[in-house]
Amino acid sequence: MMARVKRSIFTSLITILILPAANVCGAGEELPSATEWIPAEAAIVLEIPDSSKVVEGLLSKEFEGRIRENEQIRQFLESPQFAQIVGIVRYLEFRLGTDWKDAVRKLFGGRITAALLPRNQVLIVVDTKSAELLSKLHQVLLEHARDEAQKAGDPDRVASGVYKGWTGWTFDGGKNVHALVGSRLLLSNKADLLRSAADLAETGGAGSLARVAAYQQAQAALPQNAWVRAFVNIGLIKEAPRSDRIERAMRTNPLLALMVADNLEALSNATWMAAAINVDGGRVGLHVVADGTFPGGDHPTAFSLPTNESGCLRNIEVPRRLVAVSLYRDLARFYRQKDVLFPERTSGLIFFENMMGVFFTGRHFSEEVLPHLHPEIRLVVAAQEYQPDYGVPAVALPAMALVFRMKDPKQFVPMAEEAWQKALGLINFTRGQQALPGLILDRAEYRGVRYTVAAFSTVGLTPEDRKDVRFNFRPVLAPVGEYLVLSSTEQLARDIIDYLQQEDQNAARLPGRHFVLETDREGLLKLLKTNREAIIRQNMVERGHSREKAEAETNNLFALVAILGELRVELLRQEDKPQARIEVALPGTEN
Amino acid sequence: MTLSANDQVDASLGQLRVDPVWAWEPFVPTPNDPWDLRKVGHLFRRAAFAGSWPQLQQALEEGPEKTVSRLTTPPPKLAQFHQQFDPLLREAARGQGQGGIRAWWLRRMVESPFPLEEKLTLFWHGHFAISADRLRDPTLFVDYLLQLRESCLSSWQNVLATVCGHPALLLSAGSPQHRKAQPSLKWARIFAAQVGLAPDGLPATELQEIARAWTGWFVVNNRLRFIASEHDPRPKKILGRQGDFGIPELVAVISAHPASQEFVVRKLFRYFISEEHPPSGELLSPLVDCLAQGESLLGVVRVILRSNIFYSTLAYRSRVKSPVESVVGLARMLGQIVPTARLGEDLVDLGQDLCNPPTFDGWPEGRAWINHLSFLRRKQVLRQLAVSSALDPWAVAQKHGYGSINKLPDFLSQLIYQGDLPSTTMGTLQQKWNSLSASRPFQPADGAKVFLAELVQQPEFELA
Amino acid sequence: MRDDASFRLHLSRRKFIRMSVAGTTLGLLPGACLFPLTQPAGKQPVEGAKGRSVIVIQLTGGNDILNTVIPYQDPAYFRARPTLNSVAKKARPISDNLAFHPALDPLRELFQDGQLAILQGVGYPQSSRDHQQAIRDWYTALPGDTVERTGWIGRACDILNQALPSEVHALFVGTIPLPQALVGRSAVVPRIRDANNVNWEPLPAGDWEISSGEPPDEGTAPLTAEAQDLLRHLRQTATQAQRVAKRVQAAVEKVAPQLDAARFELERRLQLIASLIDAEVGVRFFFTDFGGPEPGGFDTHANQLDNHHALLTELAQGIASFAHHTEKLGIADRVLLMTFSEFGRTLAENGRHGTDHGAATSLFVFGKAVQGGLVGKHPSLYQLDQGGLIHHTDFRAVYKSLLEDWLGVPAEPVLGPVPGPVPLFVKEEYRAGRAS
Repeated sequence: MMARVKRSIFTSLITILILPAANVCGAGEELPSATEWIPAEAAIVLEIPDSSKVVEGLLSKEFEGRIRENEQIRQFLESPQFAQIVGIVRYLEFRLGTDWKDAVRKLFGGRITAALLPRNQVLIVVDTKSAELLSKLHQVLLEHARDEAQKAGDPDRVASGVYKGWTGWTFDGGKNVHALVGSRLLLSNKADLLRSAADLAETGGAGSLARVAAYQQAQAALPQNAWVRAFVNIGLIKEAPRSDRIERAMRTNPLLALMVADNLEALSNATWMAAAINVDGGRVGLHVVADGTFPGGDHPTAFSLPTNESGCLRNIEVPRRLVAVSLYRDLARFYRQKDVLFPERTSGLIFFENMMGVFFTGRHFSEEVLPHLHPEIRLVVAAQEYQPDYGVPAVALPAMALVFRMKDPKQFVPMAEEAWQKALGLINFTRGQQALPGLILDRAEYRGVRYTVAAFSTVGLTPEDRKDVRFNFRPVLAPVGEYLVLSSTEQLARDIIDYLQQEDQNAARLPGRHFVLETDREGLLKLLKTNREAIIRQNMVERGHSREKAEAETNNLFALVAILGELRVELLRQEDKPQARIEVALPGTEN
Repeated sequence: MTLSANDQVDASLGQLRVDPVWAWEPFVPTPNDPWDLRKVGHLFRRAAFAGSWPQLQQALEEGPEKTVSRLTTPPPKLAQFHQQFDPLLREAARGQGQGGIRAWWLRRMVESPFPLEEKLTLFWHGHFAISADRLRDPTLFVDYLLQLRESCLSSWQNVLATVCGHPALLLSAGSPQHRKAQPSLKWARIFAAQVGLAPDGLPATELQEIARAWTGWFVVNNRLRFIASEHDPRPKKILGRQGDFGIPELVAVISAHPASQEFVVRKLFRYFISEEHPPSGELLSPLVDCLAQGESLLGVVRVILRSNIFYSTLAYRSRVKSPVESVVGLARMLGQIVPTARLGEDLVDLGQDLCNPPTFDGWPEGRAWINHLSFLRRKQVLRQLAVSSALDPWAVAQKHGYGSINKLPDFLSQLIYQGDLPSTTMGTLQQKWNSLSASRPFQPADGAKVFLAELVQQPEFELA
Repeated sequence: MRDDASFRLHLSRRKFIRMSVAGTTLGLLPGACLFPLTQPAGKQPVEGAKGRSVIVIQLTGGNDILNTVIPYQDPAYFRARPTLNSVAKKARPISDNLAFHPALDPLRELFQDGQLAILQGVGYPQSSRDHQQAIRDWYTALPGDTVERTGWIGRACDILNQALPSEVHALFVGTIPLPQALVGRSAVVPRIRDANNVNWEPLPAGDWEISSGEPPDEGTAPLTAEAQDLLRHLRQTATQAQRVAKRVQAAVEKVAPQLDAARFELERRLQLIASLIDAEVGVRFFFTDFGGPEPGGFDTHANQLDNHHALLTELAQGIASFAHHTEKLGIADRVLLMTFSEFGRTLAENGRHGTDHGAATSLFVFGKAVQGGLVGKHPSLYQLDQGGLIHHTDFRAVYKSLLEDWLGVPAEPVLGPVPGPVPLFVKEEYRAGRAS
């Protein structure tokens, strides 16, 4: 019975693949662009036009040195997992009669194209530089696969067939298929897709991706020298139900709406999106463009649109910084559109309004409070240095601050001050009801700025008491010129005052940008290290891991942060079209 | 097994009549009634959530006497286990609140070298039904749980004193006011019910006296305080004893009273022996005597786990597992750790929020656990667990020499059911396995998970 | 579902034992202590009430009933609400002195059709104005009792459970912690968190799925008759679970496109509930919350005008779509929907263009079996209790009518003695008949 099943799989594979031979591409012959072999229905396409740049970059001594500087990565290089990989590489070197760097250059130094089609069909086309080496490698892998299949008592899972002159192979009973056409390797998870590629090759690319207008436009909009290009056919993706979920989430989540509503709107009328990755020194940059248009001035979502001159401000720089975000959002305009943007009245929103009503003494929030603010908003998150005479909490939370730009500080500062003190009073009152210690308000001065600070009493505390999480907080409200700083700690407030007082107002503006996020590797790693134990414990119960395994996974997370930790994301509006620029500075890159 | 429904049990009046002397004598295996895998599986289900394959094998070899000793004696590494896990539970309470508590308590149950202790903590927690929601401060709840664990195997008086001496009890009761001028009768009723004095059977004056004994006890700032000026010092007459009783005296009087002792023993009978066969007072009396003579709860449990009646058909598969017993049991059978954070939330949906027993009666019991939707959800949770990446039944089978396509089905069904699945069910499952293992591509590790999921979805799995 | 088998089981010896055990347990309980069972345990719900259900919508936060059903002719109203009264101009009159908030337009037709009753002046003596305590009072139906842990629906389910132990009598749809109203002593209350994701797929078929009605052999396990009975019970429940799951799955698939099209979460939940009733899951009490966790969306202390408008839009849309859906499914005469809120709000507007915690309120009751219209007098706007309306009907009397007239469940063991007159809102021909 078992044998019968195997045979039927084998036979079906043969029927899929075998057909009279035709249109054989011989070795050494110039092949048409891979995109001519990819069907037009490709929803997402990734291309590496000249992988030798990537390969050389990754193989360079410079890159290796930079990587090795990082502690987490070093740990991985010394781990048994890595040793295992090295073992496999040595074996392959021996079988192919070449050293691995050379093999990588020859095999992956050409063009690589990957396409995702509807129903999770994938086609990958690798243009190698050596048909000979490719066929040798295939031979080695084929032998290995046959061995394994034999061992598993399932020899028929390695099979081949011929269609239009191409030989299709499978090593796993048809789950994945591949074909070698000269120096080109085609991989897919669907035999049908391989057959389509053969059909396209036969007809000379008619009905292929290369002829799709959106694809051609996207190519023109991207920088020509990109290391990696991506293309997303939004028309096809939109049919997927996932975008629906974001919209639904936005309806009950004002913060999400504030962040993404405009861009979603722009993407909703886009037909394609494209991205290019470039590498410059140790910096990896991702540039995303789409053909959608931002909605006009009176559209409900048009609250984040900088003009050509305006835009958000440069991020604030402070010591121990972890994350900084700078936004351009017209809050009053945004809040006026709440019935459209987030029509469901959640408990949280009503509570927020009730509180704002109390804090701002009955003033209308979107008409009498928010219009006092300019659209430039900045957020800073930084690690803290604790003062033993205040408290050193067992759970270290980073400090956080919001910086608004006021239109008329004389009018707004007293309003904000009153609201702030009421908020602290309310917090105190609520904590008091739960018999928890409250905050004591005080006024202080730093560099000529008078500000309100609130601190927990430290009278009669045991060292154990001082570990309480509340000692992460020492909130401050500080007006600094036209800026209003709300900070969770005094230390961060002072650092921001230092920064703002020397900020060059003119150079600070980033025209066209409406969102800029920056993360700082060193700070993030330090924070992760401080909370390492908590992360490990969370991993243990969330993933059901032993401590050892949880530690290993946490180390991997740290390694990832070590690589990607220095990140900059910019969203901008250029000629009314949405763009994004993302840049990662790899470890060792000078800022 | 010696006992059959027809000869020694007379349940026609809804109460069980068995010879009490025979019932509590230690079980001695005979050729007709041998020490076999079934009895071993039964013992581990009741005393330790479940046993892993090596545990079952070791028990089979060592016999009942030694195995019960092993299961009821704190192992040497217990102290180290507590040292490691107690701070984790406290940290979790502080950092993640109730979700963290559920996750780490479950983790304890899965990993503890002394599972009986966790089972009895759960037993008493279910009994006193303290609700973390009503405590507000999760660290206070953990404090209560840890104190309960420390006393759960000692004496009834100790357990009662621990609970009554902790602010959690009154906070969880909604902080009834125990003022001198207005003793809380409602609280007295609840309290009387929780210590086994059927409030409807008590004279009204007795309830009034209990309420007066509680006067003066308040919770202030999460601490239990005795405010003398609010205490009613007049003598009280409770259960035939007289004096100016406060809480410590009340605890002593009640825990020494036979009615309350029988109540505890009856509860243990339901927990360890059967929910389906209500025992007579006569049957329970030897155990009540044990308790009265100062035997610890652990001692009484040991008598139960050794007894003839425990290994009789009367006890066999005659309890419905609580959701916790069901999922922790699965993990312990395979001897593998499962992701308990998600599981803790799933258990809330299944009606067993570890932090919040719903009423003063604790969680539902027996058949009340199962209605059609709760059954469905429970099986979904078990299936998810079975096919998750946390459990690897194939690796377990391989480790014990059953890692082949032919041996796996029988191994897993012996591990889980010890041969109790009907032959028709086993036949169907075997067929499913045959076609599964013949399909291509076939990964034995994945296939074993699917087979495990098939096994745990059987209704029989819910019988403890 | 409630097939003959379960009734046979009910009369068996085992069942009798179990019932008496349950009876003893009941005796130990605080709620039951206050109101000892006057009916023999397990009194059957009235035959005519079979297959009926109640849908309870909790409007969390204290709905401002004076901005829902507006006394649009009353000078006291205009005086007390200098800015909020602007809505009265657009209100839709339903009687000489009352008008629906414009957002309730979709409900006007139901009201004119006589399917919607507005129970006015409902509350309780010395009602609490604290969210937590007030809602607990509505849950327990024991005002002022901080100790009690069961709720009125839970206690009603305990009674239903004695007759039909493997059925599910109450279901919660929502994400907030399980409301105490549903907590009983003897049953697990399932919940659905997300109307778009009902996670009740049937299990892959098992041997216990008995088609011929005969259970499989008991296996080789040495079981007593009692344990065998227990196993049989499990298998029957499993079989039943499987049938229910399949029906639910079919119903959910059928309603899925509508759920996707619905604008609001409440509408999705109510449509789903209608589908579950259609699938005959056997649930008598559906409970859902609108307004999120405490303090709740209806707690409109500030900027009430547009916030309350948005809430009422969602509520009206939800109920109207439920009415439409149940009519289409042919189950309209088996459902009764009721809203409640922990308190009404003050007549006077506060400085933040909102209103504060009040006292008496009105309840909406909708259904084909409902005697529509205004029930009870509108409370006076001139005699107030600390700014709030004064009640004349105790909310427990509403519960009593719901339990006895609609579901045929004896109210006495659930609610104890109920103060005051019981409002009649179930049409005569639908009334299940009072048990006492």
